[in-house]
Amino acid sequence: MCLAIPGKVVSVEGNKAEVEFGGVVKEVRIDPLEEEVEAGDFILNHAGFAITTVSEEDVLKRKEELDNLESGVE
Amino acid sequence: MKALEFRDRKRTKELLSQIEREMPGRRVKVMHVCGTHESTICRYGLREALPENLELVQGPGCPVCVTPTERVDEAVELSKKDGVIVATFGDMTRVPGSSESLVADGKNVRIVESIEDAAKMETDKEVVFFGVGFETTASTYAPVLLEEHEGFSFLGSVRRIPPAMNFLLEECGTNVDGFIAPGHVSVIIGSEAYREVVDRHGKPVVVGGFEPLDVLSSVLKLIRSIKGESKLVNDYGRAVDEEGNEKAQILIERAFEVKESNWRGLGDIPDSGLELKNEENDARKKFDLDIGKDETRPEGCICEEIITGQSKPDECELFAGGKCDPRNPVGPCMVGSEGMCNVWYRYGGT
Repeated sequence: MCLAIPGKVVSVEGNKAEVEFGGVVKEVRIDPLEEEVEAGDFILNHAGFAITTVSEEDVLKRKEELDNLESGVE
Repeated sequence: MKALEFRDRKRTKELLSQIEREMPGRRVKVMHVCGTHESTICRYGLREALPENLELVQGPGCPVCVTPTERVDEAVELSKKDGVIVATFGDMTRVPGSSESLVADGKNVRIVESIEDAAKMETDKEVVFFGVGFETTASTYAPVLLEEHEGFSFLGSVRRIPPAMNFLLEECGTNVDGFIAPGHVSVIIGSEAYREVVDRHGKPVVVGGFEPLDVLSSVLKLIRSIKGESKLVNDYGRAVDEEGNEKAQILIERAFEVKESNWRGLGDIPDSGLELKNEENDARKKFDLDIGKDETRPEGCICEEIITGQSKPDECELFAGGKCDPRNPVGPCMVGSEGMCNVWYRYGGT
């Protein structure tokens, strides 16, 4: 139920965005988002609404963190 | 979208070895509170791969499963009224009420993918959206409920997760060593929302993501916290921050009021419900629905024990005996795709 799927913003108009999910483009409402988004940004979609953005920088940071888990570095 | 996947086989093995090395010399019981976590655990066989003395249970993390019978009965009653269409997510149409499910009647029921689909349905009938969910889904309901929609009302079963975690520890005698908190609920409410669980109950909480490496990382961090000082850890930093999505929180506060709520398997939990503020849109008031609490429980069904983390599906004689499956669900845990029985049925349970 709380499943949220990452998608890439294709275009934005008002409180809606066209978002691509693995090749399929769907309309998603973006009014719950705190930050403005533009084409190329990644969002998490839950039941037709974007609930947050995910940045490439945060993803890379996570990869690095997972590589250092054995040492206990968090 | 590969960049957002954390499923590397080599890293998975390394993390599993690390967990094995760091396990305390005793049994550890961890509760996660999300059906999507259970799906990851079963789909990737994590439970089987983790140390034998590490028990992973699912708590009340499936909104379909914790919706009480009387709310389903209200939706069924509405679906039988002339001039009314009940719109809801697919799972909710098959949840058994006290005598039937929404799908049993069917003609005045529509499956939708979002509340907006329901609000904008072209029909001359009154559309009642039967909406269940936790804070994540509440953040999608709120914007639509704050808009004007002609011939549209809401029958809600919307809940807050942290009060249920506290209630499990305080009132249900739930004996767990720590929690993996639901990542997408936490996107909305923020990791600090679990502070009470850690500070008052001394139970560590790790906010976890949903990729297999995310789950293993959260298990490892939870074990470290169990062995040391109980901590609140945000292990899903790419989506969750301490304060959460404050804009979504404001939308929820404008649309909903925090009240006591009845959870299947748990009973009345103070401050755990989100009730609609605008009574004009509240289907329960609009149609004068007055169905009292219904404690009906299907014979042999142990959904209530599963929801509270006391049992697992293979301990249910209906599940084990092949008498409950997604096509003919006896209890709600077999219906929802986030219900533990449904997940175990699909992925084989480990």
